[in-house]
Amino acid sequence: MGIFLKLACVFFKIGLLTIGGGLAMLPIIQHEMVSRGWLTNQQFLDIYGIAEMTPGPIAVNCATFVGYRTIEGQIPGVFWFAVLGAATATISVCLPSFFCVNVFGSFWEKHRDHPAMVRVFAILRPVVSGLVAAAAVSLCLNCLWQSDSFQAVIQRIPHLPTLLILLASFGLTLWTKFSPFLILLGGILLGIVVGG
Amino acid sequence: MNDNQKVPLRHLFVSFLKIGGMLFGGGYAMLPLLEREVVGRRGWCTLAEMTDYYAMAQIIPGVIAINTSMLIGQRLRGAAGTAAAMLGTVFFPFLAILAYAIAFNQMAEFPVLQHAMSGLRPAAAGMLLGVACKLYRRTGKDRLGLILPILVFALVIVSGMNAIHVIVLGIAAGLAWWGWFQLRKRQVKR
Repeated sequence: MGIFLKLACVFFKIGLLTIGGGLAMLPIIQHEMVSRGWLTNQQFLDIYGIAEMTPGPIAVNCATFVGYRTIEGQIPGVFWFAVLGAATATISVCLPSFFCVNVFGSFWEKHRDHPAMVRVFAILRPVVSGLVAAAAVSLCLNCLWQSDSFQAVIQRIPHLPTLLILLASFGLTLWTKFSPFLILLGGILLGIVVGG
Repeated sequence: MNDNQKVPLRHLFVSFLKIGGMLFGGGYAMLPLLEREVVGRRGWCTLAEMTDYYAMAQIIPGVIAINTSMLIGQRLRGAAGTAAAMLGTVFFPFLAILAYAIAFNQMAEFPVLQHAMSGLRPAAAGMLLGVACKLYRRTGKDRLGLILPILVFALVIVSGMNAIHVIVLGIAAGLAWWGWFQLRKRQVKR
């Protein structure tokens, strides 16, 4: 049962410490999951891709997946435990906001323009921007070289189709208004055509 | 909205069930859905109120879309409304990922699925890099927004610092900045 509590605690922490939504959450989720060995960088990318193609915020999607997989790994063979794990993680990531909305709802509303709050956000926005960039770069390196060490990057040449898909997706996201769903679908189709 | 006319919890749940099921992409994707369902069909709040909830949802910890749902649920039916709105919003996303998690184990037997994932992965990585650049373009409007992201980026890449620690440091820096400002104001008065 300890593992359920641990899942709940980790996702509660993720829900509590991320102000500013999905993008601010990504680097934190990545770090928490990968450093605990709950997900590899590759699996994290898979979920990010799946999360963008299925409804729902990525933090919730990630919680559901990790909850299921972790319990399945620890207590194999009992399907409903794994579903319960998914539910535990999903609810846990929403709980901090549940408390905040009910307890501090009016407080937040009143003090949104407080100078202390304004300054905290003036700092947090660029900080989050840097964090997201760092997570993106480390995931891209992982995707291309299966490692983000500098040595691997200068020694090996990445798989060419993978590199092309990555660059195309980057360009389409930055310079066009293609929907993420279509871009990712394109990636999937190309993956099938190229054959891994 | 008349106050003695209570919104049934199941209406709240069903409305957010629909919104959650169509919630693709980031937080902004939620606004048109909310506008259609909560403002248009149900008339639970005005467009201006909805935008306020959305703005408030940004500064409450957690997922913005869930926060927005919960704020509307809280206003209509208190804590029970908050729970109904939250459960409704996560229901379909939960089922979708559950299906994927269950299929995950069978994936090794189907090479097509593996190839599909090997194409999805670089597409997701490139997309995230694109989103990061867009975000930098949006924050980089002043000196702080231009320099701070690069410092944070370098710090995290070089030292591998935990993202949560960086956020907590950022909040502390914001409070310190405000404290310093207050102190200076007081000195100027004297």
